[in-house]
Amino acid sequence: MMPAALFLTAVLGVPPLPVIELEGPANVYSIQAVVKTPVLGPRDSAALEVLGEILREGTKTFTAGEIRASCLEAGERLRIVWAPDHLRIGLGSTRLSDGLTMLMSILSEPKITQEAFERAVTALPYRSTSYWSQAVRQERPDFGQLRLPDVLELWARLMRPENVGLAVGGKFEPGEASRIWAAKTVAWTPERMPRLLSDSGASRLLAKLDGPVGVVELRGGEVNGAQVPATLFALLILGAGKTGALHQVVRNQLGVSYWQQAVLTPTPTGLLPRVLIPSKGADLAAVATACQAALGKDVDGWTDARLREALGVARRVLRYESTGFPLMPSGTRELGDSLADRAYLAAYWRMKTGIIWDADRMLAEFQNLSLEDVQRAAKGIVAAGPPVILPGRR
Amino acid sequence: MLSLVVGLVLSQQPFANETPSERLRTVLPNGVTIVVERMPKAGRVGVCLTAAARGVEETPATHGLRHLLEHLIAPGKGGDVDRRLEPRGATLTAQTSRETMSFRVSASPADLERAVACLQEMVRPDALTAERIAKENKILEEEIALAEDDRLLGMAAWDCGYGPEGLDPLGGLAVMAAATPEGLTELHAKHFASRNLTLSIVGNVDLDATTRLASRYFGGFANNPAPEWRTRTSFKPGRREVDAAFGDARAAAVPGVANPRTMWTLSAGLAVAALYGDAFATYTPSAESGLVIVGQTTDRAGVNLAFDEADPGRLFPLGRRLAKAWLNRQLGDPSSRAALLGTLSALGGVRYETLEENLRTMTPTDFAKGLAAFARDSAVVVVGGR
Repeated sequence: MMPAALFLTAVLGVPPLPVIELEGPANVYSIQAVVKTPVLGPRDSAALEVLGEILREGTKTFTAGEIRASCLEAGERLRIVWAPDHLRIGLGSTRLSDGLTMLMSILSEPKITQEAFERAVTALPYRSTSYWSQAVRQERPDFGQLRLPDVLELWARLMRPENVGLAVGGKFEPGEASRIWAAKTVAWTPERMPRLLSDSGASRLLAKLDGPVGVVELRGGEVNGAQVPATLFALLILGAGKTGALHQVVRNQLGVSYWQQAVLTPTPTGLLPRVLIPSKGADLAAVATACQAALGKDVDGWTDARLREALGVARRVLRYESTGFPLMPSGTRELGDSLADRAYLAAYWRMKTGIIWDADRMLAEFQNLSLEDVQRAAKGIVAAGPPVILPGRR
Repeated sequence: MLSLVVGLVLSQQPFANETPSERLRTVLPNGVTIVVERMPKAGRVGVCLTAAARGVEETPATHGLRHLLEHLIAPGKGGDVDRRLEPRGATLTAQTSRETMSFRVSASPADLERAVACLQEMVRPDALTAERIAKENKILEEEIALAEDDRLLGMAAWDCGYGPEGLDPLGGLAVMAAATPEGLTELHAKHFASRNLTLSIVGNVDLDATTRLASRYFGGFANNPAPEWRTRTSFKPGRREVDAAFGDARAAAVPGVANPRTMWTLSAGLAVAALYGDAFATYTPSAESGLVIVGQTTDRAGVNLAFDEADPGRLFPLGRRLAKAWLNRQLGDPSSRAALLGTLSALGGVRYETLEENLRTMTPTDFAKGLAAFARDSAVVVVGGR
């Protein structure tokens, strides 16, 4: 039986969230939507990836070519990216209203046909992903058991006004994007909420990474809410810049890896702090042991002065140049400084935490942390649990 | 760190360029070039030291030594340049391309002199030791192993097109393993000969005062001559398979960066890359012969088919827009602008306005010629075999 709250939602609908508006250049608009997903089992997770692929194929109103041309005119590409807790849909337009119309069309009237489904499930298993994507995701979705109704059902469950968070960058009057979006969504009547089918079990994990380099992962526990600032600051001290602990200890002192990353990746219910250490060494277990010991010792030696130095790095990363920013919402690549990525971060952060991303407020939170808070968060990442080891294939 | 001087994907901010109001280019008596450009609205300063590779172009016998040298000198005197910069919110990044080695600092305007002083240390580094070389070679081994598919496809394109004249600066492990302190010191002296050096500074700065500051730090070096660029003469179209890579690529030969044909070809490459979807396009500005490479690494094949079906009439407006967007992106912030100024100066005093003019005057016929450079029998076709 459908729970009462869910029933009400399905019948009455929920108004869309206000649009987050970011200042940007004139005459180009970056439109970034995040569609929140509930905890998905392995079948639905694979179906979400197939849905993303199908959404690229155009809608009942716009062909794929028309959407692509509109994006390119604004210097952007259509981005539809799977993540464990959301689907990113990003596009560009030189006309705000037209861009929002196009987004609305992608969300509400895609062409989910048998032919599009078959193209997607045929292509996706053979698609290559980057080393870092594999190292972060570590899963291999199974598209073989999917059927078209799985994708249709997922689309009907997800594509609803209350699930869509939107940020728009460009030059327009304050409130203009929200007004246009509200007008476009007023008549959005989502499909009836479908019956939820059982989808449990675990996704298939990768046994090896493509390429000659394996990865050692040191992983902390999932964090939420008040735990986030200490975790984020700890990850910055570990991974940002060449004064970061990973560069100093893992690269310079131990010499076992060229490039390391300290990242915060999404899970369906929170954020996961992780340290990724690629290494071509034959004995990755020994690399992991050495890294855990040396990084744990380094963290123990942190001082208030070290934290003050790290605040300088954090200011650079959060305010000016994002290289080294740990949050990786899509789990595939670092966020950049582009308007599209700034808008995406804004939309994602509100979806995940309920508040608007504010770099200065986060920096103020870092300043209020004690040395012990930050050390505890860092030790919880680098020295808490058993490492995850994924060897390279060649 | 090593990467292309200009690696590009589709820009997301095509109209961010701020027309400069002033620029001052000064050649010091010792041959060092100082370029200072005022960017009135900039909140940061970009400072870039570019050493042209005139006289030290890679050969099979020296393959990777410049990259190794970059790793060894980037930490600065005492190995703590990053500790002097990063806590103040500044960063130093280093890059080695076929044509240049560059060190770039992005900092707050208050740290301009600190940035210039740190970059001076790259010209007068600490003595090199066998121990440091051995340690850095271990890291380079890891770096080379991490090379991803786009890099492997690009390396194959250069190898097919230019052979030993197109060696990838990432390097060969055997040559780097045999490096000696004496050999690298000699290489450094040639690479950082005063006439190979450009210091470029961009930000909300006073041109005269900043030039004087730069002159204080870079005017004291000996006046060392630098030879002419070695010309790449051997471009050969062809087809290459790369067992270790996934995806495919097409590469077109281009003349020097200032030649209009280069912008025509880059525009065509960018247009096809954008149409394909997740394709990449790379171009490293060069004094003479170079390559524009377009490829993709998500599907087994695709970019080569996209080129075969490309319609120049339809792609011309898109290509011009994207090339302009690419150029604007390089000029959009002080740090990348300083890097572009440095590179163009090192390649013979090219001005970026020349590139803008070449784009502005490009006709559909010119664009079609740029696209024709990618034709199967004129270009290099690379196919991944993994």
